[in-house]
Amino acid sequence: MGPRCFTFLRHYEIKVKIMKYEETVIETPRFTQKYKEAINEDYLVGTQCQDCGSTFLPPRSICKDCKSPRTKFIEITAEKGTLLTYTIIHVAPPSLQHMAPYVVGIVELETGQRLTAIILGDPAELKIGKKVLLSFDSETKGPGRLRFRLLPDDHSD
Amino acid sequence: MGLARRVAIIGIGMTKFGALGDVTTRELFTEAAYKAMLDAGVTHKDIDGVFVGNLSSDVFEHQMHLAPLLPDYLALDNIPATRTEAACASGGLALRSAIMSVASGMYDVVLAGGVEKMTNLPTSKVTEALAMCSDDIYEANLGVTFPGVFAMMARRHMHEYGTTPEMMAAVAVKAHDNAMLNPYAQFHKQITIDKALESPMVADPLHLYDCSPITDGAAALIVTTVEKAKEFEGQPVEVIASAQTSDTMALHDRPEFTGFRSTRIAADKAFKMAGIERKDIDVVEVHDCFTIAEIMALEDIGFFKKGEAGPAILDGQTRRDGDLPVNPSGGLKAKGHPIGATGISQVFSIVEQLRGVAGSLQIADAEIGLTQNLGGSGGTQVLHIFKAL
Repeated sequence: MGPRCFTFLRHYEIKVKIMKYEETVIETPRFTQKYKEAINEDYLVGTQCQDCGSTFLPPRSICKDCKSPRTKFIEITAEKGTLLTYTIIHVAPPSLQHMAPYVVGIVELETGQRLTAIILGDPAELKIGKKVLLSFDSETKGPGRLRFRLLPDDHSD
Repeated sequence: MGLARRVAIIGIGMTKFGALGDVTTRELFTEAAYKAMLDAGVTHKDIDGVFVGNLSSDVFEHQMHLAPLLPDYLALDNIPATRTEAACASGGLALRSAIMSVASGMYDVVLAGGVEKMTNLPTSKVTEALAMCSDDIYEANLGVTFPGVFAMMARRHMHEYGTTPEMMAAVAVKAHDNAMLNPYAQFHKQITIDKALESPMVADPLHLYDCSPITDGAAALIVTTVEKAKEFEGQPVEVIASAQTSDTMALHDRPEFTGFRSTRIAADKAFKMAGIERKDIDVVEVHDCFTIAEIMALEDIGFFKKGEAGPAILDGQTRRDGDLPVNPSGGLKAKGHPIGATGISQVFSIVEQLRGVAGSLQIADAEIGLTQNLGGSGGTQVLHIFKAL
């Protein structure tokens, strides 16, 4: 995936400027909505703190590390990740019963951030430490679109 | 930080736990609350305020605004009533709120209750409702169920510390063994490790017998000051520590998955407040919503080193006659887990132990007890320590 040129990706700051009451400017950033818009186009956006440089995926308005409100959107360029843990869901909620049993896991992307998602591939190949490929379910809109696909062992460390 | 006034529990009451049919939330709460009032020897006019833990009467029973409804049905008139919701720690939070209101001098006598009527819905709908206690956008939306969150922690615990399915099953076997003697418990049937391991998978590696059940029930406590307790009949037990903390909502945002940072922080706060050591605790009720949760709780509170709780449980060290009796009531696993009631019910069991009236469940010479009530996947943590007076 190459770099993209969406304007909102370049920079973003929470603007909270307290002056006289009538002049107060408060802008609540729709970070979650941007994440949804991006994932619907098959890529991930996170945020990067403009003061300490920490990155967050999913996006955060305020830096969890240094508490700065100065942040910007960044595209997460990772294509692969590592499976940190997983489960096979047998008892599913009504909306996902048609898929059960299915695998869910937590993946650490090669860029360092972690996400939870459904893992595709042969369950017999499941193992902590397996390499996975970032992918998206074209049938689903929103955060539930995220998938990871198990890669063959020659991709593993 | 500490309690400005010394606080005591002087009354306890609970309903039978189980699938209780067509009884309603208000009836369950009133039964438990009235029993607690009788036990304490308080009358309606003595009570200054009500806190009640409840996860989701809106989803389970199509009823919101529970706070005034429950005292209304109990016939408490024009009373300050507050509902607390912190997933499975809703009950513990109701008690902590009651303790703070009494310690501060705002109220003298407070009713702290918890209630949940869950069995109106089929299992898949309950699974969906409970999944809302994780991060809905970034976890539940991605197919994670509640057993799924704990299953992912169990998998990692097995990977890093060699914890086995047998060790987890041993938690369930002990819980069922204890619940045999608890008249309030949902299950009165003994199981074996083999039977637990043969039960169907819910979220691999967690079998059905690794999971607490879907339960109806209520529990209630009467809270007042140690000084004021002398005016009532109920045998007081002192609250010597109350601690609460939070953590990231989503599991994937935490540095490690083999325990709860929030338990460790709350436990350190609680022991500092109480001025006692881990070894001073005689009996504990921990939040065994899943068998792996009991293993992690015992390690995070500091009773065992990481990776050593599983073998200790398998070895029998946490049975009623062991070095550290854990969940003699049967725990969430076998006593049942009516979510909002659970945190209060844990305290019911510890107060019985410290009063020395726990019947065949009694731990000999129990003087100091601890409860740990966990909300969601550790997003909320409430710990209390109690001492016989």
